[in-house]
Amino acid sequence: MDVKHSDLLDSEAISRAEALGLHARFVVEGYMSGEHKSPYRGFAVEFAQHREYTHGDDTRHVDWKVEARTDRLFVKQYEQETNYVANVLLDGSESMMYASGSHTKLQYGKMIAAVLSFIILHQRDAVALGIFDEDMKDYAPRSDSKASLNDIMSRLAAFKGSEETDIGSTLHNMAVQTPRRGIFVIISDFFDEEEVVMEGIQHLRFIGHEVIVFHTLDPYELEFPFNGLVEFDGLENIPRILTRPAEIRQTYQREFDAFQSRIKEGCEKNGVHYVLVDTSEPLAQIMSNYLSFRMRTSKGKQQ
Amino acid sequence: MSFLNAIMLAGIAAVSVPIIIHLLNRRKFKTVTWAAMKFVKLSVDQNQRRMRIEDLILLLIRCALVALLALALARPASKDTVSDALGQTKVTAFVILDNSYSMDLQGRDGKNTFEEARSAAQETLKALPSGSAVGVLLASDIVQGVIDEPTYDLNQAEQAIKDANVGHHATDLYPAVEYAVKALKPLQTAQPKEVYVITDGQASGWRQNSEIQQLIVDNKGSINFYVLRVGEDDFQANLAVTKMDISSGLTPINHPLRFEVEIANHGVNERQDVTIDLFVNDEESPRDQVNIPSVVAGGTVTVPLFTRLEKEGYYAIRAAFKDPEQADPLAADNKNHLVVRAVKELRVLLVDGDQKGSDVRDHESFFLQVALSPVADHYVQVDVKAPEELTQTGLERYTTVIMTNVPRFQESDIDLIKNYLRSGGGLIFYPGDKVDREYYNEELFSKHGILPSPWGVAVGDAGQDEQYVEFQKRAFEHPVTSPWNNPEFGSLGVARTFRWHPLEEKVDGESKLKESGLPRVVLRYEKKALGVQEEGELGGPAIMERNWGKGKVYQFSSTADTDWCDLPIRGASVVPLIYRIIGSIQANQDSGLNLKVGQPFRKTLAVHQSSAEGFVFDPGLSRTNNLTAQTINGEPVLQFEDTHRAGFYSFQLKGAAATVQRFAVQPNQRESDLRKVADGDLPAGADVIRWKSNSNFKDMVQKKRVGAELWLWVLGIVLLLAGLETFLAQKFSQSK
Repeated sequence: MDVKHSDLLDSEAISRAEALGLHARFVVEGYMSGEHKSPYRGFAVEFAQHREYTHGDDTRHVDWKVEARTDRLFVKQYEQETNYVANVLLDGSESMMYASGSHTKLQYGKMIAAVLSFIILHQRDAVALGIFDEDMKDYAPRSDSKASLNDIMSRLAAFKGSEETDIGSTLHNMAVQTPRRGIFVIISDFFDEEEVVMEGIQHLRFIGHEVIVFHTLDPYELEFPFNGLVEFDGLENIPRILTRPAEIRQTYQREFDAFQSRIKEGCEKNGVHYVLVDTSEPLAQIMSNYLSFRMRTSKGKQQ
Repeated sequence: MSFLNAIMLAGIAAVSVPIIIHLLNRRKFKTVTWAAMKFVKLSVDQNQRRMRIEDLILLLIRCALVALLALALARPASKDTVSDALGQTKVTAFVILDNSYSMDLQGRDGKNTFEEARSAAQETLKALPSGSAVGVLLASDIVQGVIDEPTYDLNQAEQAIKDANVGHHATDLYPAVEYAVKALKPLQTAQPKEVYVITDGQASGWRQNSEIQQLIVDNKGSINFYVLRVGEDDFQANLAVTKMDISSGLTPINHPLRFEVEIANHGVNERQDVTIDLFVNDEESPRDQVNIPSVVAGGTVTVPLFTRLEKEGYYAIRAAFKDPEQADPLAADNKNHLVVRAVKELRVLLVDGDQKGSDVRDHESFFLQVALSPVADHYVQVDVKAPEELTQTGLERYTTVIMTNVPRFQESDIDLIKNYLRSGGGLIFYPGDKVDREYYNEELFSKHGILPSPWGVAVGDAGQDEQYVEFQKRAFEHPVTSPWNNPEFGSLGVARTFRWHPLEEKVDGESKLKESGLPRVVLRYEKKALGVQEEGELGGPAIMERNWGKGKVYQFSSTADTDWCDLPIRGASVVPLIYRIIGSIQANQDSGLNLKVGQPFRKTLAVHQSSAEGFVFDPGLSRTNNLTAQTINGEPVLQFEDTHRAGFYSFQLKGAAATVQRFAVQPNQRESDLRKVADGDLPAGADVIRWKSNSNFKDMVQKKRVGAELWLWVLGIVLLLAGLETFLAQKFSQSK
């Protein structure tokens, strides 16, 4: 199914997201001034401390008053409000192709990615987009230019999905390739080896990235509402299974809930925001709920 | 275990249906492309074994449901089950109650056999499982279907048995058994069919034993036959008044009338000192009485009894044992009845075709004239006419017209004769040398069907007296000649016939004219070739008769004078013979006075009486039956059919001047022989039960039946399984 750019931008979601803003929970490193506190002292407006001038420092930051008093060159260091880099990683594996309604999980994930990219770029932060399955299939390097939004949308719309998934190795690779701390937004159903997935997340956290998980699931996957005799044709090379789903619903739900809980607990344990995305729910509601939550927790941290 | 509807067992093959449905259902599924396969696989792995077991349980229950349903429809029954709790197999049955008059016997223990049979019939009804259907037949030599189609209303059947009466018919059980089989056979019911014959086991009732046996064989497996024997096992001696006849044939007033009364001893011992009385009308004192010193076992004695009748009219004559109570306990045959019509005079016309001689003794009719009216003032008045005078003579006033050697008739004479016969007249034809045999055969036999037989080419030589034939000397079958079975009545065999026209006993293409009755042989010749004696065999007919219209026609094979035979001068033979013939003609005019049991009484009325009514009083049942005229063969007739009891009945036409007319109904004398049939001689395949009032008849019959039906129980199990299946299907389909 071809996806147009406009399909990916839920205007209602975007307006709510802009209103609420996206506040970093932690101070992240940024190279543009903005609303996010940089963990590095640099060149922001709020003075933090002096250090001795070294070669290569911008002479604009030399504190000439101190030089007049001490005859030594010191540069001012500031605790600076800075922009951050949001790495949006979208799972493009075959399992994301499932849809009980009008949208596949992948389409829903694309919308999440698009909305987040739009909001972040409008906050003058930088966005990098990666779409992966068993490895990174498409990657848009970080950019804080609003003009790059078009490129992101084009990439999202053009992606068709693939067969296998390997979230863990993708996250490890990203952790290695992105040493500077930022935000990682992972949009996936996490139908993969849970331990490997969690190891990947832990790797990102270990480096200092904030990680936000959008656990994207179809309502049918949550409820398993099938009746009669049904043959389930696996999307990811699992042989077909013929069964009466009504008779195994409780077992399925128990197992699925356990899976979901394990993901959620694993996230919480690693300080990762876990957002359950039910693709039957309006995207705007999910985004506003999360951003509202994020703003509250961010303020709490600042106070 | 047996099955009443075994064909339904084929339905067990339908157990494949749930299996097929199961397999088909497994092919009927929807396919869902699914992502979270891992969890489905996990769930299936955890539940697969349970689901397979549940599937197997449901499949087995469904197969069992189908199999048991087929089993229930096959209506299993078990003989092993003695309890009524399972419900006995419903049956469709016929109860055949022997109501011949031997059933009226008072047993030595004082019990009436028919009462016992009635109790047995009622016990039979009680022994039928509830919901059974039953028909009730009264069996004698006729079948009275009091409930001729099986009814589920057993109360109605019980009432019919209560209302049943003994008739005075003989027994022949075959027609009733045949009726029951014909009624049961086409019934499309899986219910067992049963026929109960309740009888005293009189041997004569089973004379069609082989036919009954064939019916049982033909319906083996589908109809069960039971014979319930009631009454005493051995037979009692029975003395019976088996026959009464007026030997003179004619019943003139104020002349001594001789009644021949036959007594039969059906016992094994000689009976001595038997007194028989003759009663007229309702008189209490007998008119005549005869004491018979001895009647040997198995033998018969015929005795004459005399009386005079004083005035014209109908008389009820009754011959009875002086002390019937002591004679034997079967009252029905201890008396015999006869109704006669006494007349003042009889007129006979002799048409003489050969009066050419000057001596009247040479006339053809001379000897008949002398025989009929020996004296001037005799009650038989004879007129003699030439054939040419026939047209001018009114025939209606003559009881009988005798044609002697009349060559042929004019066309107008034929019409006259036919009208005479239609009004009930009697005609006697004698041949002779003047008779145009071809004309008689063509016109009177073939064309008009008046003669009983064509006259064959005359045989014998009248001119010699060495070669002749004689009349039969025994085995007389026709009522006119039957008295000669008694040697004391005289013998016809002494008369010699030298020349005669052979008569044909069976004529192909018998007259199809509706007014012509069947020809019957009255008297035969002994069978012997001319001059060669062959004792012991009967020959061709000497005299034949047939009914024509309401009249009667007799045909002799030899002459009325002595030209061809010497009968006319054998006074002891010719007089009673001709009198009995004329008497039979008169009785034919009074037909309906003496009937056999079951034979309907008919009173033909004048045309203007088409709306007349009458009534018959049945003294045996003290019942008055109203009759309404119905049209039979274009004539208004009052008909009374319920003549099943012997005795005198009174008929009266409703109206101011109506007189009472009596008629007699005779029992069938065959029934007087009370010998019993041995159990071993009863049809094989029928269960013979000696019925005793205190016997546990119900158990006996039930044990012989298929047993208790189990279908209700099987159906109960089916319902339980259906409920279990529903419950389990719901339970199993719940999410786990």
